[in-house]
Amino acid sequence: MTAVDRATEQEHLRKAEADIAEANDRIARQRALLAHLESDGHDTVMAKDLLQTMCQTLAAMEQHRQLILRELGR
Amino acid sequence: MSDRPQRSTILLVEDEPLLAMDVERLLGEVGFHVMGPVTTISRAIRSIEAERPSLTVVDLNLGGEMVFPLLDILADRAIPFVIVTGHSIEMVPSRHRHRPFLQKPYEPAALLRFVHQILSGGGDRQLLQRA
Repeated sequence: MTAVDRATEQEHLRKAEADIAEANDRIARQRALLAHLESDGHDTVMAKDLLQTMCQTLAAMEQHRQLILRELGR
Repeated sequence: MSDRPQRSTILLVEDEPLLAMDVERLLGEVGFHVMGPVTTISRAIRSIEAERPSLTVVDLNLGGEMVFPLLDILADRAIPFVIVTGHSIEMVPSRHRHRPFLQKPYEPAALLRFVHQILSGGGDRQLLQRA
């Protein structure tokens, strides 16, 4: 891997980690929102679906981060 | 004069209203006096100067601004703190990586465990289990 490629991958890693942090924050917010909806007796089906989608997206982001780390490890 | 034991005061530094509300309620329900929530570093510093908290729960990222200077101030004043954030521990400056750390989303019980351990004299060192 050239120095330029490495710098590019490191930039990708930085972006991936920022995205993961933001996703974690969003999931925390969604969980809090879900708890409030449930405590107020609201329908939470859509909120739960969204939370599940967020968790799946986070898993994909973490896989992406692992791929970048693998590239950087070569 | 009241003969009730003095309640520990916890400063809450969190800019997400829903999360702040939940943590404030959680800590309040178990008997702590909660200062805040405050949403900026400058307000956190003003709060500390007005009343020294027993402990601070601090979100690492307030509206895009990292709270590293606040962590330094808390450390300088020997005010223990728990870091909560969506970021990984690697984002925390190395000088503070031994502090109690919770990655969002975290379980409320994990936060309470840290708070109780610190306030019961467990310190904020590595003897605290990471959640």
